[in-house]
Amino acid sequence: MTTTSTDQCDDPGAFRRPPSDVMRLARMGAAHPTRLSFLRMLLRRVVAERWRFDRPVWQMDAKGVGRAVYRAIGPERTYSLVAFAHDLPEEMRTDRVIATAWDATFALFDGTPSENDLDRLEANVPRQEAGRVGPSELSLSRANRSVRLFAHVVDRLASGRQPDRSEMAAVGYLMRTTAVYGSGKFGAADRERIADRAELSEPFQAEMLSVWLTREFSTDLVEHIAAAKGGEKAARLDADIKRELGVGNSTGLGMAPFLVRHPVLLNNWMAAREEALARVRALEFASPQSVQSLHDALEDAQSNATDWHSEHPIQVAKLADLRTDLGRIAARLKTWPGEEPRPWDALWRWGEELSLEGQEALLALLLEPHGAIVDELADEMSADEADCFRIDGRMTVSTLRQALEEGFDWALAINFDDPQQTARFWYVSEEKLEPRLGSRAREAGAELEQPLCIARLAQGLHRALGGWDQNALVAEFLLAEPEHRFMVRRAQVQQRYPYAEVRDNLIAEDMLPIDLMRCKLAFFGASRFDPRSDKWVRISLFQGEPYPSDMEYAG
Amino acid sequence: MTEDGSDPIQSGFTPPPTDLALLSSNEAGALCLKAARGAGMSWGLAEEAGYAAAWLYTRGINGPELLLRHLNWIADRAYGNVRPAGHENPVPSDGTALCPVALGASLSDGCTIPQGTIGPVQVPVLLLPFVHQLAVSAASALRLRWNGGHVSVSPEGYVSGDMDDLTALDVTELTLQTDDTSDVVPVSQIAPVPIRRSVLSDLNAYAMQTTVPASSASREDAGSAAGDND
Repeated sequence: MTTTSTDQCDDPGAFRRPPSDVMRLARMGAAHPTRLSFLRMLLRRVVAERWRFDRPVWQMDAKGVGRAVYRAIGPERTYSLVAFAHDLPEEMRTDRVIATAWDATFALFDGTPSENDLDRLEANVPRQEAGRVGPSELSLSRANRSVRLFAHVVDRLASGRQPDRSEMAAVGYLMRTTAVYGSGKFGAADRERIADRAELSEPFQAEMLSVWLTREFSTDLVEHIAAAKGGEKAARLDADIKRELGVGNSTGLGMAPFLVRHPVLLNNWMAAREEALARVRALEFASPQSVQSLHDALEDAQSNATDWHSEHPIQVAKLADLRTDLGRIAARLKTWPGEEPRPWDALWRWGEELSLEGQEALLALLLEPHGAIVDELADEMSADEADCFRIDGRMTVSTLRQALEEGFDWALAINFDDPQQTARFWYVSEEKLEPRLGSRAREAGAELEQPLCIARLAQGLHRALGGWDQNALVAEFLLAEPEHRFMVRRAQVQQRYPYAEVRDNLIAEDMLPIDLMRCKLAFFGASRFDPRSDKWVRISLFQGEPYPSDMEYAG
Repeated sequence: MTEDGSDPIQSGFTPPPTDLALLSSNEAGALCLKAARGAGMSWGLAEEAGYAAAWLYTRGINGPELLLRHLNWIADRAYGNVRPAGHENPVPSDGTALCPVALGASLSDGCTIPQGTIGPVQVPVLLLPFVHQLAVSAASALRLRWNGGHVSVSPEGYVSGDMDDLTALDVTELTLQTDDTSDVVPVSQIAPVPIRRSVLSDLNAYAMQTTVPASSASREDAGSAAGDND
């Protein structure tokens, strides 16, 4: 990507979008991946540090059942994806967390695993949540085949032909992950254990590495099965076709509460992205190289929008908006930049007339030419949430109340007497602890509601504080009314982290969980967002990007 | 809840099949948070309980087992009876014993180092994570003393003193004062402590009280509108 040092970065503060604009669900649900997305961070690092990759273990039978190890060898450490491929009966294939078997299961191992390690992992990893991993494992995941496309590619390759490109484009991946667990889940290494490693300090880097290696595994597996079936006449995947395959991901409500449960992390992601946009808008000039880079990025975005399919009515409408707006941006670029001062800001302000899809796509486009002033913000996107855990009980009731009125004005304005505003409730099912969203009027369990209805909790706290001596300390208030402790902590976090809260009612009748999911997935770097209901979505990762095996370095 | 570790559908957290298990501290904290909520604590206090258990576990002390001991005691008691009588008055309202989580959170909130006797406090070792927070505020090690021993916590989170004695105590009165003389024991030298299967099962039983029983409607509503065999 072209970056220039001739651009001048002025004070960007005045160009930053306020949380009241940014933290709305509808806008978060229009988020696009940017160069600050986590998979882009991984790919930049791998190239900059000249990581090497190999596959020291490939023990696979003709049906594609067996195990494999892929190593990523960095300047200081090695990480290994340990993969187990299974023969899954069709009736057992479900992407839901309540599944008990998968087409393939994986762990990311810290180092190079011994035979003993592989045997230990083979006894546990295929069982996923029912097994145990340990501190040497950084993630635990599984994937299912895209049945139709996988079979098509095997058949074609086995007969010496390449797969049909329209079939490939319609799906976009051979396998899709259905859960990628990290951060101490099921006995795996705690985040604290690895957070000080440069290569894992940015968010979700172990998970991204695991998924990237899984993509390589999926193409190796399909070629292996085709070779076993077709013998000498079998073909391998054409490099261009292979590059258009990503690795899919299928996800449900489990992802949505994550953003609400990690307010500091959410703030840091959002604040970094907004700072990046502000820095670009503050630039005095647009160099020819950066203008060309913008045109290239727009061309890629238009190509992506053409190939992006969904049958979900909400997404169909959004895709229409996106395609229209990318066309409008293309038309605008024919006369941009002109003589205007701060040309990037002028372009952004022109773009505020676009749909939310168009605006957020424009944001991603504006960041693309500016790695030199944007990429360093990746360092600010992690969070030590323990730092913000402790409540300041020396604060007065009056100060806390004022903080709520300023930071949660959006929440205090909601009429919770209207049943539409309390129509749903978040709960955890006893089935594998799956997070779910229920209807308060129709379903049992509302008394076990999870504290994700932040707006209503904020209103409840504000009301309770009103009944107290305004000079009393929050410590006294909480001693008497411990049920507000959860919300007091969040209110104090919000004071320090303005992008910490999703500024919408998360239990309203018309709330769309997929909006939360799209925001998080865009930060991962996901493309081809394809909802399968208002609570379930498929996406693709790494589509169009190189494979680990493509990493060759000159010199 | 099931005892069959191979059946993940029927239980949330699956206790490992072995009699002793090592958990990550994230896992220990998350399980204890849910268990504390299931045992009746408010969400905010349950977060404190999870923090306390994980803090101890990171230091080689069996925080989850100690919290379970406390949850079994507190489960049928009202918060009003186990909370400190006042923000600067750390004695039980009804004269029996204080919840160390409610007490610890209250002391931490107010940055209060009480001058006189504290308690009696139930499972007093659970107070240490909050003493650490106070030590950070005071920028000084603090010494927790009881009849027969003492333990110190430094602002860096190191503990030293009669830890085994404190861990064994069910209930005791305490005092808290600054301490400039304690030795420090780096956390990284401490081996993780295995947790008994029965402890994990009992904590899980509390945690499952925060979950909603499954129904076919809820199961279907949470998934894709189409099948996954495409």
